[in-house]
Amino acid sequence: MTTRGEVLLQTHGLAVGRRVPLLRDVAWELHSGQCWFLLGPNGAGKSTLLLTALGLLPPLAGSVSLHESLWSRRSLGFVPQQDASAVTLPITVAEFVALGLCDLPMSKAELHERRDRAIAAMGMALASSQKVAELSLGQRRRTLVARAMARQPRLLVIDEPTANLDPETSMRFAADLDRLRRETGVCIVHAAHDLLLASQFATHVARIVGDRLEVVEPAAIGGPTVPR
Amino acid sequence: MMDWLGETMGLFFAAYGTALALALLLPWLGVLLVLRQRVFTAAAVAQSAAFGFAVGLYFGIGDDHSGHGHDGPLLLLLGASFGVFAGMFSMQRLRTAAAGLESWSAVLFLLGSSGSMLLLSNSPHGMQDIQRLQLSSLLGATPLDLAIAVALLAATLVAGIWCGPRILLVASDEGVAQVLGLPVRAWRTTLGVFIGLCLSFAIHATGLLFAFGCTVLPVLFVREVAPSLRAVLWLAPSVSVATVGLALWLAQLEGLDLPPGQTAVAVQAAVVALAMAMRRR
Repeated sequence: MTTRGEVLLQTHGLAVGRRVPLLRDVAWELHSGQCWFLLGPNGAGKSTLLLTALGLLPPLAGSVSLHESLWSRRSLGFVPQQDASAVTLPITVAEFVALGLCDLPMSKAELHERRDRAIAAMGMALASSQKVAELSLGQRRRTLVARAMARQPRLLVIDEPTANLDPETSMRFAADLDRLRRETGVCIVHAAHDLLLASQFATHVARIVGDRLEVVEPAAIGGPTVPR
Repeated sequence: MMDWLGETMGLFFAAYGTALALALLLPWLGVLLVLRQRVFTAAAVAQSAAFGFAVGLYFGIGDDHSGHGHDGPLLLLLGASFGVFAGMFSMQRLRTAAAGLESWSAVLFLLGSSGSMLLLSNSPHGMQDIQRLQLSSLLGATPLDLAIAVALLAATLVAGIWCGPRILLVASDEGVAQVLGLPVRAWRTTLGVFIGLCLSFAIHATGLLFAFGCTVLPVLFVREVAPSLRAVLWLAPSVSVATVGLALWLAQLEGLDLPPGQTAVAVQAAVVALAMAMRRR
């Protein structure tokens, strides 16, 4: 593990779960510039661990330390699996991405600049004025990432980024995320099932086995092919 | 048409002014409800407020024996408190599964409808009053109603300008809003209270049909034709005001003499149906 940027998130003896611990004694350290794949079967506790690490669920034991730049959450990006809102009203890609900046104090010009840069970075510039509901699933995922990246995050958490995407689209999507990571130094955490993608793009892998989180070398799951 | 406007505005200034102010205000609430896929919540909240008015009438609160028995401010407060409770409840429940939420809205709606009728079934004027609330009568609105409608409209505009995008994010994507550190629970409660207040007042001043219609129908129409969310936000109230204005004019035409509230809702519903049919082609 050669990638050692600034420590962004660190857990100490963390136990996570709603009532009963799903995971115990989690020791996890995320550094800037890393690409983590958090692997585990459905219901193993991936989302619960991420929600606890982000401060949205109280830990059952232990603690989480966040880098000071993440205290206010302004440097945090989150990509949910689905865009619940986009189908109910006609919202354009540009509007959707701009909503992700709604809590940040900035001028209109800066907001537009950040929004347009994030849309372009995800290869969606031509679809900027298109309605999100009319996009393909792959394009919608890109729009969700653009909304998160517009915040210029230091930590980007992506829940099941390639669920329901075909293999080719998944690979292109993951490759674009990897390019963004290299360009911006953002730490990306994928909660995922896809071993192939993990083996291709992970710099680090955490695997849930029983009630433990094991940090393993990407080589252990068939990777890496990515220079760290 | 201008002659008609001059003549009737003098006579029904408060009633028509209240109707137009609510026609401007309610679609913005409708945008939030449609964003959260909770269209039916508007009817459930309004019906709960009607139940609140029925409880007040049952205990003789605000009854002025003038044939407009639901005019007292105390009665308005009681109805509003039921509406606010239902609004908060509906917003809080939005965290759970969609089918469950629809069920709760249906229960609130049916409980409010049947309960208010049952409560006043033996009251001399009560039944008439509650029927007037559930159907729509724009003509009973008073200058106080107009002042409240304008105040609620002003509050909505200020909130929209001050924190519109944050409201839209909380309404549309609570999970992301929470991760980004927005106080989602406080926002949800505030929105629930405000929606409850506005709809309770709207049903008090104009009746359930008009309140529900103006909340959802313009938004459903605009959803079919607008190219963006920004367009929805200005087009929905514009369409609402235009259709209500048209309905008020139609309703008084020689030989028609229609009830204005029902006419307004019928015009809006026809416009929505037309837009949906044209879009499907």
